[in-house]
Amino acid sequence: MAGTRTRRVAGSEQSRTARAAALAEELHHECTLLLELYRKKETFAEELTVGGERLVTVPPLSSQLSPNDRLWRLYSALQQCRNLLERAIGLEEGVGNGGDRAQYESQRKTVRDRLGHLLASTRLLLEDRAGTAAFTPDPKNTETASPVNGSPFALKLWIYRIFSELEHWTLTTSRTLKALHPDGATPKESRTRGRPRGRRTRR
Amino acid sequence: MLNCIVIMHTVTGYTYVAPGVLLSGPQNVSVNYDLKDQRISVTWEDDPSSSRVPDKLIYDVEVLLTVNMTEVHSEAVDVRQALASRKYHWSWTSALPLECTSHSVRLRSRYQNYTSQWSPLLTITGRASTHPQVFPKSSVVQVDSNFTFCCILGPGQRLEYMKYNNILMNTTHIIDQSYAMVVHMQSPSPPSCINVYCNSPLYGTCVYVGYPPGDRNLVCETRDLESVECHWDTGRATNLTKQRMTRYDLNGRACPNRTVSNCYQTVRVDQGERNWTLTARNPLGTLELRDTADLKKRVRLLAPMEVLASGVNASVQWQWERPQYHILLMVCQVQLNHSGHIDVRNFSGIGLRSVVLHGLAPAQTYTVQVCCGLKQHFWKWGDWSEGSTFKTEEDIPEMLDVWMQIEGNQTMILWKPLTVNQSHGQIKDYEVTWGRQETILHPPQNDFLISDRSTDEGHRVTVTAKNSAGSSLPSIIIIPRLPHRSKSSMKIVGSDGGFNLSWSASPNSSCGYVVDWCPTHKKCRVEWVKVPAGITRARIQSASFEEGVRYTLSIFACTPGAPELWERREGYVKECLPKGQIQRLAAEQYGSDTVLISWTAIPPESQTAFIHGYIIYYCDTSHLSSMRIFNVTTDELGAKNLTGIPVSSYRFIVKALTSVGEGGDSSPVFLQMNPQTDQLITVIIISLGSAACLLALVTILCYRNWKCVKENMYPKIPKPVWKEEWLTPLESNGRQILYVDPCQPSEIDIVCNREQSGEAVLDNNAGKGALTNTNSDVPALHVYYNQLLTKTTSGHFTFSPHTMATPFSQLSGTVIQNPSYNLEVQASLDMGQSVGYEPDMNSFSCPNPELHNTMSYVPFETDSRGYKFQCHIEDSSPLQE
Repeated sequence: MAGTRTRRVAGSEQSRTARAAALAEELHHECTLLLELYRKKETFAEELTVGGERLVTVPPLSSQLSPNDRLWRLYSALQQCRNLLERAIGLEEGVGNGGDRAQYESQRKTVRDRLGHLLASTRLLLEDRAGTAAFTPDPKNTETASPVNGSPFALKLWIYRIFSELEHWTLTTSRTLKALHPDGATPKESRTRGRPRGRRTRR
Repeated sequence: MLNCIVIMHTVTGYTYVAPGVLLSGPQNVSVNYDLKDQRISVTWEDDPSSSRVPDKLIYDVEVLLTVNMTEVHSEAVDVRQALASRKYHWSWTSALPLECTSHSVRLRSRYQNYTSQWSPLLTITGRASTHPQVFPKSSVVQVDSNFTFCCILGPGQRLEYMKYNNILMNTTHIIDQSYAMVVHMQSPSPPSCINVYCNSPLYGTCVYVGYPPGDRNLVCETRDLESVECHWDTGRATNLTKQRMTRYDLNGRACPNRTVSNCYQTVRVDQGERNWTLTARNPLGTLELRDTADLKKRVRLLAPMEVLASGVNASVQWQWERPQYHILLMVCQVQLNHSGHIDVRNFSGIGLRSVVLHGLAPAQTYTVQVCCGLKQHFWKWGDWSEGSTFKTEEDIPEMLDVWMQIEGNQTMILWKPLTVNQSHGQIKDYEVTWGRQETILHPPQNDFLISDRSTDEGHRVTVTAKNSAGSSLPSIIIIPRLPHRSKSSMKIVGSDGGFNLSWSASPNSSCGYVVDWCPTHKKCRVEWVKVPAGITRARIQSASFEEGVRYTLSIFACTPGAPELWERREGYVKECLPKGQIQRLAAEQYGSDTVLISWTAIPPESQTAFIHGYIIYYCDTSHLSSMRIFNVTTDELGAKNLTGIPVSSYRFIVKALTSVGEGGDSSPVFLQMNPQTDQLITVIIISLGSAACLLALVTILCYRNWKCVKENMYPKIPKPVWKEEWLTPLESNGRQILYVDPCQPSEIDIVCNREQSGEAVLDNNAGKGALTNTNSDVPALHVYYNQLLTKTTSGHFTFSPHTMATPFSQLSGTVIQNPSYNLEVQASLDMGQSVGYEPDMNSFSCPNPELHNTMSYVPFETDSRGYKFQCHIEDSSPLQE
């Protein structure tokens, strides 16, 4: 009986991993789109690439780590991403409105919502493996200095960096979750995988 | 002396410039700067104990680039000794951002030609950086101005580019690692500022470009007698948002945030006339607007509240929100809205709160609104109250407009339904009275059929309408005893969707005229209009008028008795191109150059305009461009002969001509015209047929009367008889000789066969079937058979009947044998040869009798089949049996 139960749980976990991987892949695409919309809205040059110091700080995701640890670090990174995104949304009001605001704001909301879903999915995976004890206390959210009193240009650049971080970590999550899934692929029931990227439904 | 002063200054800090006058340098010099405005401020003092300068004292101020002591700006500042304060202030805005490089400031005092020493340099240090930085940060710049940005590079770094709004710009080297670019701000920035980069999109700043405040037309007033409300026009948009948007102060007190075009402040309104100052301020400038007003004369009343209107006496009441209004002498407007019709009435009084409205229509719904203003010191009308709706009482209906429509023995009594303004309430029923009969009808029925009008009383019909207030005055109409005499109609042309009708005055008309109308070719309910007496024209307009429909308009004279039909008109409100099609178009050729075109005209009920004629269009199908036209009047009923038309193939089409153009096109008809030669051939064929018939008739007649003809023309010729005794006994050599008696001349020539040439000898030795003419003395004419004998290669001798027919023609080498006439004589032994024989059909000349005497024939005893002797009785006629 115990063996049967274990297999059932394992099967459920695989399915969750696959779903989370599909969600991460979808979110990565949405983040890419958001970054592009923001770049255009703020008339940043196309060659703009932000590098150097990262806003999200987690230890490296080495292949030597156990799946649990990798999941944990991913979860922590996504958590920081969400905090940064919330701050960006709040601070952005100070910069002023411009450009194609409606499309940009709609995309930003989509990313915000899906990031919440991905966090919830990742948390479920962690609970499957380590139980709820893993979340006492919650992963520390590293305070990142934001140019609250800085120039509008610095603020715009900082928000751009946040969106870049989002794009990076959703891609990393997607790849890691796919690697964690035994088949290395998303499940059949996942509809997002095969969907054309240009025709996504936005909320 | 000057040197002395200098020295003295050197020693004491003062320069002696005149008796009792000491020139001191600036004391306590301090420099401040504001990076936001790029402004340098300098303050300094003079020593009061040394101020003996009688007239103006000047201070020279210099701003230098610290690195190379290049002068950036210098200015002579005039100060007044009379000023109580000895502290001076000077400021200057730098075009080059102060962060770009270090700036130093120094100053000295000057009196006439004497100057003090320069004050020590006070330096504002420029910025240094390890990576490219652009200055100034987050500046706000006015549109259409030039603005300088500088880029400070880190040690050892090279300038790659500076970009404004992603556009590469020209740069100038300031000093060391500092570069500048000047941008002309052509247009306002978007709300999220314009980016400026240096070397990389990561290094830059952001600039807002907009306009200073442009507000105008400040007006202040009071609404509640407790506060001031100022309004203004915002003018041109500043394009600056958030922290950079315009802020307003009214008389030094800040207006609420997000104020745009009005500011409200609680004040005392009994202060008389005073100034109201609005200050508008944004990063690009400050603007002051002023208005002078006594608020007690600037009262704009609030809207009346709780407006109520009574339907009984049409009184309107309302309340005031502010009790202060109750003592004000005010004027009020009461606006009545009745089915979109607006009526405004003015009333005045102290603290007005109710009015009575007179002259309202009964049973009508009105919406009433009120607004008021001060009667004394009228400033503006206050706000309109909310609308209040009420309904007035009912009254008896107005008289009905009654008319009739007579069809045969029946008369339809018609009346127009009363409008809301005429019915004065809800119409409950109609009462129709004729003779001693009475009928009650209920809306919406507004007609009544009277079929029996045999009695005199039946001709007078009365109709009344009734509502809750009572019955209307009766409307009377008298039906004529006899039908109207028919009148011929005149054509009339409509205009602007109706008819402008005029008619001659009728001597019988005592109470005006009635014009009624209906479509000419449709059943309908008539419409009518009544024209007062003395007027003989009317504009006939109806919502039911349709374009392209023919109407008949009848003008009746109103008399004390029954109306009399006076005149009639027919016409179209607007003529349209015919929609119906001309049918049954046909083209038929008559003669060599005439074509009859016929068609069926558009029926009157399908006509959408008066048809003035028809036009025949035709063209040669091989030259479609050669269109020709024939006009046909309406008198020529659907047919037209076109003459002088050359033989060809034609396409015909007929169109109806109306005042609005051509239309009703028929379907095209094609006609291929035939040339005259065909008819000639027909005549020839008919003639030949007739001749053949005649010939046949003659033949039949001849056949029937053949015996007579034959006896007259061809008497019977006796058949020759062959007898054995005519031959000699068979000789040993197989030869027999025919006895020939001398031929007696007779009236009839006997045509003989080949033996006529003399004795015919069947000579076996002569070859196969050779006939030998034994008589060489035969005259040429009678021996020509022999001449025509030809020996074929096979040894046959052949007669050709053709050659015999034409004795002088060339003889053919081919044997044409006639079995009937072939003479085959076979020898008793081995003679197998045959000789073809054909008599000379054309030669009916009788042979010489002498020749017959010499003629011999040797028949083949055993086979006499091949010999048939024929003689023909020859007349002069070529006919033979």
